[in-house]
Amino acid sequence: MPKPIRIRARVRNGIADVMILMPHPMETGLRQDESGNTKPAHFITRMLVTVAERTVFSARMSFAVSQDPLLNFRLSGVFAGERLRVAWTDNQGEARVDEALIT
Amino acid sequence: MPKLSTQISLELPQLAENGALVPITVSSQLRGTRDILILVDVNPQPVAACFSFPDGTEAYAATRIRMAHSGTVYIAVRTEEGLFAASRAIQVTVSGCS
Repeated sequence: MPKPIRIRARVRNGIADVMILMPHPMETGLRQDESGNTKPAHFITRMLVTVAERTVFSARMSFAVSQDPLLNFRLSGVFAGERLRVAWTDNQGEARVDEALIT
Repeated sequence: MPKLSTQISLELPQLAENGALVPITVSSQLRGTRDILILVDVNPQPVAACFSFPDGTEAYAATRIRMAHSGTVYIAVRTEEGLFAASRAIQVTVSGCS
């Protein structure tokens, strides 16, 4: 089971500053382990951020995004007390969805 | 070919010691910005990420990317009026691929 997504969303002067950390190995498929076997590629390919079922941000990623992808972006038109939902899927079919309260 | 634009901002260190963790901040002042793509010319897979911005979301994103070695980071911005670009060279001390 993938680790929970860490989400912080704070509204200041009408703009919500959102910080998301998605714990994930983001293996490139180019690295080898100690015995010389190639580690299979394992990385998040898609992430979607919604507030009240409205998409507010989305991303497609390759393995060129660093391990434990960290994302920061800014939203207007969202309010403290609403819930921000983050979902990702990876190239091996794993997925994770988490929510946080906008403060 | 995308047009070069000074309304795209790309923040990147001039020198990154660790190619596995290069902080990058991109933003666009171009009207109707829909997508921002980050491309790295020296990576085996040049497209690192593509961010999409619905109405109401500022065309701004910060993240961390891998770079195989020193090279150039390109930003492509897709707007209602076409594709625009910006780029910046960066020195990398330790490869982000090993």
